[in-house]
Amino acid sequence: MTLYVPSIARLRGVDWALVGIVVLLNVIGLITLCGVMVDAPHWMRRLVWRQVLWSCVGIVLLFSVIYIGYERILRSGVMLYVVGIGLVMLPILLGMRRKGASSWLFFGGLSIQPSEFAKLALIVMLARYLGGRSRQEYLRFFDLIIVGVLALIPTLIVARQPDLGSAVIFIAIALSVAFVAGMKRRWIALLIVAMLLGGVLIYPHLKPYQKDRLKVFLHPWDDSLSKGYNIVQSEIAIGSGGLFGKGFGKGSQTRYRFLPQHYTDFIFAGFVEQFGLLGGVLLILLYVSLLYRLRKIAIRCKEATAFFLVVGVMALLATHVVLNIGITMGLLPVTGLPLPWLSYGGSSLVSSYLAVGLALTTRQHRRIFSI
Amino acid sequence: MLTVINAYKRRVLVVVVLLISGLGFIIGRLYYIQILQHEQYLNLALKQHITKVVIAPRRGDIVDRTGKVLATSTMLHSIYCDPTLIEKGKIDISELSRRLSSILHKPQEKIYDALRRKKGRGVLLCRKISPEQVKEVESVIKEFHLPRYALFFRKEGKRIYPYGKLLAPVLGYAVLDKFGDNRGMAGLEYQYDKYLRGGIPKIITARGASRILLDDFPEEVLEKSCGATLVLSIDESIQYIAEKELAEALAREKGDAGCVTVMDIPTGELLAMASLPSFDPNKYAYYPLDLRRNNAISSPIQPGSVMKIFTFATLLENNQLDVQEPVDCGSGNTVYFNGRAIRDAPGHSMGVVPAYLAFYYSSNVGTARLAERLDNEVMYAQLRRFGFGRKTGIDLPGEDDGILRPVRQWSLLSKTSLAIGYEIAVTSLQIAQAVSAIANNGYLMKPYVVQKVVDARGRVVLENRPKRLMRVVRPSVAEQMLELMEGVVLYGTGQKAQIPGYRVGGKTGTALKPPYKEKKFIASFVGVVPLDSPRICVSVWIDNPHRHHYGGDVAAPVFKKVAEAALKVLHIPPSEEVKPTPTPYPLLAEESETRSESASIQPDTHPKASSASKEIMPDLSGLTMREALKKLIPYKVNPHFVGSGVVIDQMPPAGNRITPGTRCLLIFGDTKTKSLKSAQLLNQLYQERRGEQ
Repeated sequence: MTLYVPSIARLRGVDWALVGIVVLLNVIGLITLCGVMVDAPHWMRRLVWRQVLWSCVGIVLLFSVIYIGYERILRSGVMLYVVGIGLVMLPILLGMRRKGASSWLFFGGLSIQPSEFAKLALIVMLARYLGGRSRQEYLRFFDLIIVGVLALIPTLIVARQPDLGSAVIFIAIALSVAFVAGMKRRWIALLIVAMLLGGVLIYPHLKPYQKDRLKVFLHPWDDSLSKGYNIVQSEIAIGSGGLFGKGFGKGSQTRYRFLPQHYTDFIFAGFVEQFGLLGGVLLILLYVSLLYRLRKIAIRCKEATAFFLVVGVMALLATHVVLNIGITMGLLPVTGLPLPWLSYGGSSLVSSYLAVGLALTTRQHRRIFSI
Repeated sequence: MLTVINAYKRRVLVVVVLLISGLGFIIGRLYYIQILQHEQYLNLALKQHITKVVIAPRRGDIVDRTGKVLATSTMLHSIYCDPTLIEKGKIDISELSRRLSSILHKPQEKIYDALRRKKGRGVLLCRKISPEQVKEVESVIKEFHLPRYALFFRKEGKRIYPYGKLLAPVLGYAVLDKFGDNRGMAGLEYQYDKYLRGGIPKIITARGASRILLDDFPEEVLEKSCGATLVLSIDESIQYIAEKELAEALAREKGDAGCVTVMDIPTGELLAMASLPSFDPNKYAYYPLDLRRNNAISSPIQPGSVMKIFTFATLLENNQLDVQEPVDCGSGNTVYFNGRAIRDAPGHSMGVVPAYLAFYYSSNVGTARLAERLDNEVMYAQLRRFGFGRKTGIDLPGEDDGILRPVRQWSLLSKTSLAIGYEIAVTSLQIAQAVSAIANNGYLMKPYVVQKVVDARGRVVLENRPKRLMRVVRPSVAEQMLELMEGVVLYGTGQKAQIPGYRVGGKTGTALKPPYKEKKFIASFVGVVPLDSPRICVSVWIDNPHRHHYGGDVAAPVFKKVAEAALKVLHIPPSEEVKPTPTPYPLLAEESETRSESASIQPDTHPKASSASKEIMPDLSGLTMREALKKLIPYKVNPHFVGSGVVIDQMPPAGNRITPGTRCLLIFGDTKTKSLKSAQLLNQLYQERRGEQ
């Protein structure tokens, strides 16, 4: 039997290396933020302090999650999932729109992106479902249907907002978890075919700007002043950084705001412009080591629920990183996705910390019982 | 069970490897963009954010020869707005415009309209506001939470002339261009504009996507873009005196206009150049263009008798005159030359006198008669050599050639007219230059007003050095001319130009202005001081004086004051043989006050019999200088000597009444002329000598 009590003793078994990596990423994020805000107007520079505040909130929440323990969280998994879906629907229901998208909830001066938390809810829900079923090498077709439905509900809502980036993340999480849980090869092949077919079928129904994004992705320099502007500017910022970068606060393209969203989705461009290829590789290595630690936690899990929880967290963070950087470098079409710990944004930061908290809480659990 | 867990672990590894390979691909792409295509992207980046920004350079200063700042610039802020950055709904524009209008003292509607505009990223609200206003505007920006650059400042130069009207026609003025007051429009501001306006108006800087960053330029960059400084040869003190004396003379004589040119004889530098009426370059727009001209170089005049200097110099240069030779100045006022009447000043007929006396007393008839000897071409060529009829080449814009017609355009009257200063127009500067040439041992110097141009880093970028143009007269002629000019000041028409302690030479001029019926005059004087080693030349003319009209009365006192000041400023010591203050020559004393242009030299043939011996002028003819002086001692007169040898002429003539302090002129010559004592006899001798040859 397992002990479901929240306990301060759980902190003893925390993987401090992972916490260190995460906090280091957070610090790098704050430094980068300062660097790109050198010439920014006053209101923008205030965002750095907000980010510091969110960082503190995030760290506190991380330890709160550890303190609570993943068992309790999993127990309320269904509720979390329902609340998550509800939150994602709320902006659409309340008609809150900003920049043509209703993906934010506004409370006074505060704006929250509920999809960030819905991602966590999906992870918890999937872990609960997949961990609860009897262990087999491969998923049953029914399981696959359940997983598909669980993932598609938030995906479709988010895609309506429209927030394609988050939709892709929901799919990616579900696919990763399902893959790890075991998918037969023909299912995988079937899925790939279905996705390609779906893509072809969906394309005519895409909104014009979404089509444009795809076109621009293929030929960004054809329209470098309007539709391809972001990606061209991002490439210029990255390319002009060179091996060693231009130095802290000297990234001309981000500093002088040629690059839009230079402090949110395109912060990686701002980072490598300042710190060069070396900085970029080190940052990626940091993310790789994060992945590595998460994998280590995952394979040491004794419980399947914990295991799928960590796999989900890993998928969440890694797809964010790969997609965001890929977009920033023009490898993928532009969709709005934050880079965990680096991009400005309270929701992303807090949810990233929460995700790491979820992973960490599984690890010490094992220790408690090994005493 | 274990296989299931192993399968999970293996699949996790697959996922991780997939993700890591994705990141590896990203690193590859990073390498491609950042290393292989780095330069290409860097160039793109530079093209985007590196820009040439034009900033307002500080216009260079103009300082006088002692470093006093005559013109300078300060950088003041001008305020612009970028209406596209003002969110129309959020900001109370009418309140904002009301606040701004109260700070900037501009009509509220105008500011309101500017703020409401839909286009334009730099709409001028107000130029050149004070630092206090800048602070107030900044507090308003904060108060209204205006975005950055919604209201912004640019520094623009404001030209300041600390001395106001002083030297204004020479300095000129600078008008507004896009850098502030930085376009020279007249005078030195125009002539040296390319030096003054600043070397690097463009600097390379970083540009933002939304707006050029206009501030944050390091001070040193601004310093380097600063314009060069002009160091003038003008001396502010002399200039001040010149302008003050000229203004006083104009007020006293109710003249219309006037100018004073002070030239440094050995170098050709201008020490002062006053031209009235003038204007305040700080408020140039309030003055009509007429007032902004520089009379000394742009307003040629008919010089009148001043021209006799050059007539005599031409005669001497061509060996066609012996200053001792008698010349018939006519017994009446009017003598006809080729049908044209030439008059001397009313009431004066000198009869036959030595040529130098014709010069001293400025006899038109005598000078015209002497000039008749000259060949037209010779006279024209010599006058051209003196610089008449062409620009002096001074480094000032708007210089006038003056008028000296070529010989083929001359009439029969021209030669005699030219000899007495008509049918010719010269500028004050030309006169000063030509007279300076005579005083400079015959070398004509190129006049200039800027000594050097020093750039912002202290390097001399341009230097004007004294430049000899040519030798216009022989040194002996130059010496004779100076003696003649000294005589004018000592005994002749220019006595009011005397400066105690210094030997002064000069020539008066009183020219009738066309149309002659109106009887309007230009009174002029040109003088050189000190004669021992000539240093400064002052040329003065005053247009249309109403109370007096003779150059000796109107212009000579101005010369005196200005030259005195210049001597003091330049630390030129008085001559070693300090002469006591001369009193006016009694015979001419009363006359010279009002009619110095010409004078009677008829001896008083009826000396009072009762006069004591000491009051009667003795006959000194034939005595040496020492003997004559000895003989004169008991009379306590004030003797002056001209020439060398023994006394051949004297003034007053023997038997005239004299009083202590009377000035006596003794003219010395060689023994052949010993027995001759009157001008008539002199004439005979001259004829004889000609006969002998």
